[in-house]
Parts: sequence; C-alpha cells; structure tokens
Amino acid sequence: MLIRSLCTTLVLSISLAISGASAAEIPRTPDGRPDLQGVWANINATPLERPEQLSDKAELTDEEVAELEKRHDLLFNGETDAAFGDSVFEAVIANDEEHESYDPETGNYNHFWVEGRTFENRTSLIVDPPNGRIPPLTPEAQARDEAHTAYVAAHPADSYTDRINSDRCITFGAPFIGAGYNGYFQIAQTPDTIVVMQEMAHESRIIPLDNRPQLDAEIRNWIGEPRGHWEGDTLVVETRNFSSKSTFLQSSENLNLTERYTLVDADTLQWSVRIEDDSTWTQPWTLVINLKKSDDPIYEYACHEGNLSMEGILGGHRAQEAEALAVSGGGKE
Amino acid sequence: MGSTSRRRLIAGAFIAVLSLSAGSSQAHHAFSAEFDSEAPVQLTGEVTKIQWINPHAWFHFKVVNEDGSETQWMIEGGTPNALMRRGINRSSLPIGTEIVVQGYQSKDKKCQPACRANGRDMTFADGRKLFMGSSGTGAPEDGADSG
Repeated sequence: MLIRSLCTTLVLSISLAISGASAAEIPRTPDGRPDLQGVWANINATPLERPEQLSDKAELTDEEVAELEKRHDLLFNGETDAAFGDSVFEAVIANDEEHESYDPETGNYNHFWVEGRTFENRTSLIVDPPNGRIPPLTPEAQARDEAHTAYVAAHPADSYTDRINSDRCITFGAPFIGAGYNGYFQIAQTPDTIVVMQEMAHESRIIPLDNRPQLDAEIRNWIGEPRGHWEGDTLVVETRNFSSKSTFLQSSENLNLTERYTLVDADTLQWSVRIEDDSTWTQPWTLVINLKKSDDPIYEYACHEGNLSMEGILGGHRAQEAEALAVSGGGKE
Repeated sequence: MGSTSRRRLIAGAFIAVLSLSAGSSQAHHAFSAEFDSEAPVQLTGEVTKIQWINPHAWFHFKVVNEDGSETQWMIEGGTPNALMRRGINRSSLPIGTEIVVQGYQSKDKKCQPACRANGRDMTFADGRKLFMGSSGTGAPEDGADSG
C-alpha cells in the first residue's frame, strides 16, 4: 500500500513538473488530482465521421466555423423538424433550409425540443484512423449485421424484446456519444472511485481506481465493467465485459474501450475513446469529444416510468396485424 | 465579401447531402414505429393537462368536433429536459391555452383513454411556434416575460 502510494505521488509529481504552469491552472482535488467534478455538456455539432465531401479537410477555418454557426441559427429557428446527432452538421453543411427528419414518413417534432449546438474547427470526432471514418466491418460483423437487419424487418415489434435497448429504456449503451439530446454528464470523484452519471436514462458508470482485477469473463454487463487509473493528469478508464445484448453501433461482446479524460482547462474536458473490437471492426479506432462545463444541473430522465411509447408501438403493430387479418378474411369461418 | 457571396463560396466547398451510418442521429425512438403516416391530423383545441415526463412529454387537449362533441387527444412531444435548460417550466404553457397541432395519428386508433398523435408541428392559434419566444416562453399573456 505504501509503495503504491509513493508511486502515485511520484507519478503525480513528475506529471506536474512536465506539464508546468498549465497544470497548475486546472482545478485540483485535495489529493492533487485534476478535479473532474461537475456537469459536462456534449452539445457540439461535430459529426462522428468526416463527411466524404470534406475528406481532404480535417479542420475548418475560423471564418468557416463562424459561417456554420450563422447557418445553424437560421436553419434551426424552429421551423424545421428536430435534428439529432450528426444530422445537425449535415444540414448546416448542405445549407438545407427544408431540413426534414431522418424519419420522413411521419417527420419529427419541432426543433425547439432539442439543444442548440456549438461548432468547432474539426470535421469529425474520429481522430484515428486519420481519414476520420469508422474502419470497415469484419466479414463476421457484416454477416451479423445483415442477419439482425433481416430479423428486425420481419419482426419489428412482435414483443417488447424486439425493440432496441433504448426504446425499452434499458440502456443507451457505452460510450454514449449522442450530442444535443440529454448529452450531459455529472462526474463525482473520490481518491479511489470516479462516477460518471449521464443524464440520458441516468446510467451511472462507477469506475474503481484501486487496481482491483477485472471481472471474470463470464460476467457481462449492459454497459461493461470499467477499471480506472491515473496516468499523470489523465484519467484512463478501460472497460470490457460487455453483454452481447448491448451494442455500440454494431459492436459485439468483445468490445474493449479505453477512455482518456484530460482536463484541458477549467471549462474543457477532453474525452478520448479508443474502440477495439476485432470481431466487429478491421482495426481499432479513436474518437475525441470536447465536453464543456455546464452551470446547469443534470435533470431527471425517468425513462421507464414514462415510456408510453412502448405501449403505443406494440399496440400499433397489433392493430395493424388485426387490420391485415380482417382485410384478408383470415381467422373467419 | 458579402454574406451571400461568402455563403456560396463555403457551400461550394461543402456541397450536398451526407450519409452517415453512425446511428447517432436519432431521438429516443422513431415516430414512424408508433404513428401512422397515412393518417395525418390537424387539431385545434385547449390544453387540459401536460405530462412533463421522459422519454417524451405528452400534451393532453380537448378538441371540439364539428357536431359539437368533444374528443380528448394526447400529443407526443420530445424530452422536456432541453426546454428546462431554456427556462421553460410547468407554468409556461397554461392550461386552457389554445394550440394547433399537426401530426399523425397513432397506428392504434382505439382512442382509449384518448386518441394519440405525434406533435410534428405545434403552434399557438396565431401560428407562432410554442416555446420559441425571444425570452420567456412566447406564450401569450403567460406572465413569464415579466421582470
């Protein structure tokens, strides 16, 4: 224990010496660690993947960013369907004044229901590979994806179990990278534990820092099992033991995450996530999100309790089946 | 360089619609899973109750039909959390306010205990979007702008 404590102190001292004056400017806990506590917002419009038409442009100029901000304010003044995730950037780049929902059949609700977004110079969250794109799926993952797509098409809502985890209010998965839609996190910190609680469905990731061993591979959790440690002023969190029933994009239970949380300044927490799953992607890849400090609290998101939508989805499909049966004359003598 | 010229210049550098398979561009669930795209509705009525709940808020309102009968409707909106961050609260849209809703009726049309639709477009009777005022709520005479 004493040796570990001395090592920790030594690493911390070296880190402080290397990082110099800037390290002293970030808030710190009484034990000298960067103080990550507070509420952090993910409201940036930077898309996960770099758009193909910007393939040779990893960075926008400040003038271009200012132009995009102006367009955003004009396009999303409440007249269009709400835009989620990457579709905000897509619409602003295309200057799409008639932006419609990803759900064109019924559209979506007004944009006033979602957060205003901010812009930065980057054109993708993905920093590795350098082209800013998700690596190709492995043949195994392609086959899995095709089988899943075919099943969902044939069984959209036979039961609640056919709906995705977020429809069921079970989990939105980890890492939760959706911006502008409950993309807020509250971090609590002690010397031996970090808790990252996200507003979306109130999922809490409890990250022990005490060098305890990983869970047995037989134990699988919806959002995996994290283990954290400090490398200088950076919190490193490695997460594995994901359930096969929970996914990040097309990931499998072999998903391994390596996150790095670095306090750039008092108002910016750089969140880097390395995604490794050799049964899903042909190579590991890394995204970086710049979380911004928020003065707001995180708000209640009691998902399951108010999930009238599940009743509507299942009831709607039963009604459609009854209607189809009546039209075909099925079930009548 | 004027703003229009600059816009064209930058638009020329970007162009067109993008296609992403990242799966991060959706709300809690797709409306088309729950509502009937072949059953568009336009409804005008008085708000009788609002459930500021997640994952979606629900607006209850009373529609007076042409024959004088009344129908209770429930309209599905989005998460209330973003509205709360903009200062909207439970008193921002008073009970009794007349609103106009365009959307699609639910696939299940049993209307028990109320008919359901999604609120693709929700406005006040004069056409202004709900919650889009420059300050406060934009609701007429709701008192939220005072002070």
